[in-house]
Amino acid sequence: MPAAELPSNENQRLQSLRSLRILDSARDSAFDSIVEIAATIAQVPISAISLIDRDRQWFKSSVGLDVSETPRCEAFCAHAILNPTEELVVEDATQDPRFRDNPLVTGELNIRFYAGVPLCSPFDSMVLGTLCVIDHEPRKVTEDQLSVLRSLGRQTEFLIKAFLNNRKLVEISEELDQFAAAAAHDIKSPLRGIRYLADRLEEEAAEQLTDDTMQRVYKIQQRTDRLKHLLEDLLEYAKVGHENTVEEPTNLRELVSDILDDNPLSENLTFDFSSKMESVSTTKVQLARVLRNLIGNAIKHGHAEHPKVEVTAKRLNPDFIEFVVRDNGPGIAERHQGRVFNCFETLRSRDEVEGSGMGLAIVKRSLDLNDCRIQLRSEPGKGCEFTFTWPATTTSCSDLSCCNDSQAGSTAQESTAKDAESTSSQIPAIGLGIPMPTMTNTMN
Amino acid sequence: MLEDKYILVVDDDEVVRDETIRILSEANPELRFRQFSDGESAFRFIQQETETQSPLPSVILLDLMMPRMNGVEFLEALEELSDRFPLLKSIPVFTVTGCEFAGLRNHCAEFSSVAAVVQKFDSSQILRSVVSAAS
Repeated sequence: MPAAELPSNENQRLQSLRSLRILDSARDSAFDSIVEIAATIAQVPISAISLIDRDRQWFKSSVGLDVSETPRCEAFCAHAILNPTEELVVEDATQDPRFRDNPLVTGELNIRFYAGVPLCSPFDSMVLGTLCVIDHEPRKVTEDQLSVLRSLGRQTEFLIKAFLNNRKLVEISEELDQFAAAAAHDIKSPLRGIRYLADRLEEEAAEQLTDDTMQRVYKIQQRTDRLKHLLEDLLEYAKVGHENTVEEPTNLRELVSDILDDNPLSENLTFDFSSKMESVSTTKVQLARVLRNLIGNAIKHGHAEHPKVEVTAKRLNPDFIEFVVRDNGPGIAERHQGRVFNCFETLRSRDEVEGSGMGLAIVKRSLDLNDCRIQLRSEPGKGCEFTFTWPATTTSCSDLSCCNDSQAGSTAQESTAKDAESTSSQIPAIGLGIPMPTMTNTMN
Repeated sequence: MLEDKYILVVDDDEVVRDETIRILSEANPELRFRQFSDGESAFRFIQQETETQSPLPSVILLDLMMPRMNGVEFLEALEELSDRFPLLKSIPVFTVTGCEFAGLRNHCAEFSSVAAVVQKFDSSQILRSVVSAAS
């Protein structure tokens, strides 16, 4: 049995194949679909995407075969790649001097019919292997069938290109994550050192320093803290969309309560959470991030003397919850509303209210990645109301009744009034104290 | 004997060493320290003290990201040396690291000499673990 000769550019060809890093890669349903279609169109039991490595043919995908590779010296496809511009069709292998004593023909696999479309690298046109169809009976292939196989071959080449590009993107993303972690560490450490030295200066030299100089020491401390928070927020922003997106059982009341515990609460803050849902199934880490930033924002920008933050959650439909986060602060004039979701955007000076200007940008990014919308309603003097939807499915049956309620036209006010239980911090909830703002601005 | 006791502080940032020593001294003014700015010089010191049977540190506070010999390499070298000098195995090592490197933290925890992985800049955590181990 003559093994196929080697292509004249074999070394370059192998280099090209291996640079794709597709050999021995995991199963991929996109490639599986190609071979399934090929087998159906050709009306044969076996089809494969075979890549010709130095000593073996490896199957990226196959139907009707229970091996992942076979020796190259027996491979029909090793013959097929010798002419990259034309498909190889063997109607009856027992009649072909190249194949009649091939173990794949004489042995258990019992191949009679073979048709293989050469696959070329989308990057340098080097031939990589074939998309082939195989039968145990001799048969002819129609021009229509060949034409479909050729098209599927081109599709396979596109998939190979997408495969490599995708792999490169994953690597770049991993590198970026590592870079961000390393950069964060290397920036945080000296920053921490500066803060420590300023603290020592304040403690050890306060007596000798003039008030003006002490003011400068305080400013060093304040600026250092600001930079630290900015760095943390930038890292948080970069992290959005990079974590796993597994849904987990989430108790909304606990989630909100945990967020509240993490916020420095002013003496007079009134906080009210109302929801008829307890447990839902959702991407908890991401939802926590959105709520943490919105609640943090509401506390920061609330009424100067009697800050009041209200959060309500109600089921919009079986797949989505609608959250509303409302504060009683000075509100945002319409002309500024379009900017609040931008990075580094703050409407008050940093010296007035500490903030990196990243909070709402983080919220927006998290929502965008989930194809969710957020709406800001506000007018000066009447607080802000952020309304957003979030994907979360039901885990308890009590949830369903809430869904029906909302379909029956229940409003946020009603559900608050009816809600017996509310998570209150320090001061019990006193219902809605804010007139519904009228101005509407939709962000998407 | 008490004057022989000391804590080894290994960190490439002088300010961090300064802060660590200050926190610990405030808690216990009796504590004494030796400090090094990288794993290599700290390890050479340990090796020398071991071979000359000089007093060994009661506790080692070890930064992980350091030039020349990093924290993990230091731990590997220490493990190898303790095969010949089993006394070294009784020194608790606290690796000090930022939260950015979860993989590194887990890797450290695998060393038998590592008593705990403590959070960088968390002074109360450093205090609790070190003072109890050193006194």
